[in-house]
Amino acid sequence: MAFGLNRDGWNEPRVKSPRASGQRVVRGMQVLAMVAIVLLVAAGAVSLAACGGGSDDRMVVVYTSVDQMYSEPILKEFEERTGIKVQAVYDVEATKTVGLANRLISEKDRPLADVFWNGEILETLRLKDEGVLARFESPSGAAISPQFVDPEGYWVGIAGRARVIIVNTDLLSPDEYPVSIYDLLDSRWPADQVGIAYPMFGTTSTHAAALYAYLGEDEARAYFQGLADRGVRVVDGNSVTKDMVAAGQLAFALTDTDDACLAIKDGSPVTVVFPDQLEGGMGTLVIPNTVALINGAPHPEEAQVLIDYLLSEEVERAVMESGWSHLPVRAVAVEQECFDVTGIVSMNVEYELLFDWLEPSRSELSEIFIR
Amino acid sequence: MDVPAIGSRAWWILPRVRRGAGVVLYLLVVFGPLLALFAASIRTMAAGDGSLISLLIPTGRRLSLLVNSLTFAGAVAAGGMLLGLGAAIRLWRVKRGVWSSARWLVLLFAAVPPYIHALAWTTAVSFMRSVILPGSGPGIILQGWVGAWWVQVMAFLPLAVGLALIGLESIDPRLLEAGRMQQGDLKVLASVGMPLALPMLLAGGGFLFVLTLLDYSVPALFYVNVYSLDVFAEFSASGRPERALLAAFPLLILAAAVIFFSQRVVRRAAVRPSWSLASWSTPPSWPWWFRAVEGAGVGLLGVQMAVLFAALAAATGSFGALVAGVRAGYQEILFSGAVAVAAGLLCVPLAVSAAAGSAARGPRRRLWWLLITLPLAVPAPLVGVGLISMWNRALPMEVYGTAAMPVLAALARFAPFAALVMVAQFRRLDPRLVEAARLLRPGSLAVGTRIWLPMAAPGLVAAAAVVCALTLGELGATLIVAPPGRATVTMRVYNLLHYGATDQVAGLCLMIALATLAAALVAGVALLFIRRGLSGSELSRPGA
Repeated sequence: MAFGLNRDGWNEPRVKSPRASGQRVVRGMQVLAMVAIVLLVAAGAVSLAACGGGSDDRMVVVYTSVDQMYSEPILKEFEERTGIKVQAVYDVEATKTVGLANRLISEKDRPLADVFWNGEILETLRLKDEGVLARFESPSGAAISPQFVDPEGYWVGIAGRARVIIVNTDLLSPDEYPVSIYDLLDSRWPADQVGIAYPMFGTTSTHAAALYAYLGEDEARAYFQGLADRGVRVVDGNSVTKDMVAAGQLAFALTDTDDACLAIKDGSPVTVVFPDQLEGGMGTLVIPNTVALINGAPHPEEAQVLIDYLLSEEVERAVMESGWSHLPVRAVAVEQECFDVTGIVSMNVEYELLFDWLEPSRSELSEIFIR
Repeated sequence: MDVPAIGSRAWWILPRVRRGAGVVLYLLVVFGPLLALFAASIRTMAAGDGSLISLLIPTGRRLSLLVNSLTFAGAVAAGGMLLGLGAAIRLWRVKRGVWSSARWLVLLFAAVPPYIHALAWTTAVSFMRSVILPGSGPGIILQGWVGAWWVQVMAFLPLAVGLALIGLESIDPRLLEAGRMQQGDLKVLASVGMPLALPMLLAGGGFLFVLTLLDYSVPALFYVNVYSLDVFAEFSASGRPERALLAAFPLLILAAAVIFFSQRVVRRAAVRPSWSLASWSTPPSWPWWFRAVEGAGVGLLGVQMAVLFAALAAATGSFGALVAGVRAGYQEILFSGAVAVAAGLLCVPLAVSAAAGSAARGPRRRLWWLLITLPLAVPAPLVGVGLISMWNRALPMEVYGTAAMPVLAALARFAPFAALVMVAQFRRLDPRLVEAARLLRPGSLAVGTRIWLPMAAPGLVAAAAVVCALTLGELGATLIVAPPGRATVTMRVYNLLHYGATDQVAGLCLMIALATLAAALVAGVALLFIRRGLSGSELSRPGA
C-alpha cells in the first residue's frame, strides 16, 4: 500500500483529493527534472569528451605567447600541410603575471607541451635556466644570424619586434615628436600625456632588463625612478598604451611594433618613432620570437616537424607580413605595411646578459612602481 | 540526524558512508589545490630558503600597499552597502504578487564579471562626455581611485542590494508594528529596524570587502596599485607559486577573519522563514527627503543595469557584428557552456555534503562553517597553480590536460557558494518530515525522492545555477589549467582586448552577460515554479 502526505497526518492510504493533483504536478516535475539532468549530464559529457581532442597519434601541443590572431593561421596552415593536429595554448595579456612560462615550469615534471613558441626571448631563457627545455637542431635554422641562435642549442630566434614610441599626430606636430626614451623624462611634455606599461611585465620588462644591462644598474634605476617620480602614466599593458595614444588620451608612449602597427592599420592618428637612432644613440631594443623544444615532450617527432616549420623562411615572411614581427633574423626582404625598418639601429646587447638582469630588475621595479 | 531503520543495518551504515564520501570529496576538490601549494611551500622552506619567511609579514612598501588595499576595499564595501541600502529599502516594501519574487532578480546581475562592468562604464562615460562637452577632446575622466571605486561599486551594486534586502527582510515585522504604535515610521526604522538589520548589513559589507580585497583586475584597469597586484608581480618576477602564496598570506588571513565573523551573522539570516509576509502592515510614511534617497537608490540601480546593456550594445555596433563575433567564437562558447553545466551539476553533491556538515553542533559546526567560507578568500590564480601541483601526476586515469581541469577549477572556486545556498535551503527544511517518513518507509528510496528531494529542490537548482553563472565568467584559474586546444569565451574576450577589437569584445561581453543572466533567470523561474508546484502540499511550509 502506498503512503503519502496529506493535511491531517501520515501513514494513511493515498486518496484522491484536491491535493492529489498538486502532488501529481510535483511528481511530474520531478520526473522532468530528472530527465533534464540526465540529458544535461549526457550533453556535458559528450561536449567535454569532444573537447578532449580524440586520438593523439599525430598531434603536437604548442604553447605560444604570440598573439592568437597572428599565430593561429600559421598553425592551421601547418595542420593542413602535414596532417598533424595542433593543440595550442595561447597566452592572454591579462595573465602577464601568470603566463605560459610559469605554467611550463609548473608542468616541468610531466610536461603537456611539446613546443614553446615565445613572442619574446627572456622567458625562453628562464625556461632554459629552469631545465624545462631540451636541445634540438633544425635545418631551417641554418640561414639565421648566429646572434639569434643559442650556441647550446636550446632555442632559435625568428623575426622580432622592436620597442617604439607611438605618437598621436593630432596632439603633436613632427617637430614636437620625441626621439629618445629619455624624452619620457623631459618636462616639455606633461607627465600625464606620456605613458608606459608596467615595466615588471611582458616586453616592457624585457626592455627594462635591457636598460639595466646596457646603462648599468644605477643609471637604469635612476631612469625608472625618474619616470615614477615625474608621474608618467603607468598602465596595464602595451596594448593599453597604444589604445590611449590612439584615442588621444596620451601624446606618446612606449609600446611594441605589433601594437603600433595595429593602430596604424586601424587608421588611428598615430605614427611611430624608433627611439635613440641619432648618431651615438643606444638604438632600440629588438626582441626576437623564439622557438624551443620542451624537455620530455610527449610528441617529439611531431614537435621536430613543427619546429622546422616555425623556423622556416616562409613563416618568418608570414609573421612579418601579418604585422606581428618587423625585423627579420635572416636576409629576407618583405614589403611591410606599417613602417620601414631599413637601417634601424638596434641596441647592442647580449640576450643571455639581459636574462641575468630580469629578476633583479623586476623586483626593483615592483618596489618603484607598485606603491 | 539519521534514524536507524528497523531490520536494515545497511541502511543505517550507508548514509554515513555516503556522507563521509561526500565530505572527503568536498575537501579534496575545494581544499586540495591549496594544500598542494602549501605542501610545495613547506618543502621549499625545508630546503633552506629562509627568505620565504620574510614574505609572510608585509613591511615598508608592501605594508603601505596593504593599507591602500584595505582603504580601497573599505570604501567600496561602505559605498556599495550604503547605495545598496537605499534601493533595498524601497524594494523591501514590494510584497505584491509576482513583484515580491521578481525583486530578487536584481541578484542575477551580480553574476556579470567586473571587467564587463568596467568596459561598459568606460564606454558610457566617453559617450556622455562627447554629448555633454562636444569637441572637448577625449581626455580621461574615469580613472584613478575615483574611477576604480565607481566601477567596483557599480559592479557590486546588485549584490549589495540583494544583501541589504536580506538584512531588511530578517527584521521581524511584529517589532516594527509595535514600534509604530509609539513613534513615526522613520524613527521606528532608525531605532528598531536598522539595529536589527545591522549585523546582516555589516556581514554583507564584509563580503564586498573581501571580494574587493582579492581582486586587482578593476583597480589595475584604472591605474590603482593594490596589494593583490603586488602578489602576482611577485609571482611574475620569481615564477614560484610558493612565493606568491606566502606573499598572499596577509590577504588570506584578513579575508578569512572578515568572512569568519560575517558568517556568524549569515548563519542566522537564513533562518527567518516568512519573507513573503508584509514588512509594513500599511505603507510607511517617509519624509520627502527619505523618499528621494529611496528613489535615488532605485534609480541608480536602474542606471547601472541600463549602462551595462546600452553601452555594450552601442560598442557592438550592430546585430550583424554581434552575430559575427559570436560565430567567430562559437567553439569557445560551446566549451564554456559545457564546463559551466558540468560544474553546475557536479557542485550539487559537494554542496549538499558540506551543508549537511554545517548542521552539526558545537565546535564541529564552527569548523564546517570555516571550511565552507575559507575558500572564498583564496585568489583564483593560486587555485590554478595548486590544481597543477595536485593533478599533474601519474594517475590511473589522466586528469591533467583534459577538459576536466577547468571543471575542477570552477568547483574549487565556486562549490563553497553552492554550499552556502544549500545551508540556507536546509534551514528551511523540517527534518521531522524526513525522520517521520523514514520510520514509515525504512530503506525506501522514495523517502529521498518524494520527501527530501522536493523539499531541497529549490536549493539544488539555485546552487547549480549560481555555480553555472559564476563559471561562465571565470578566468583566473581556468586560464592556468585550460587543456591544449581549448579556450573559454572569457579567455577569448581577453585575447580580443589585446587586439583592440572593441566591437567584438563588446559583442562577446554582451553575449556573456545575456547568457549569464539567462542561466540565472531560468534558475529563478524554476525556483518560483517549483515553489508554486509545491504549494499544493504541506511541504512548502517550513516547520509544517
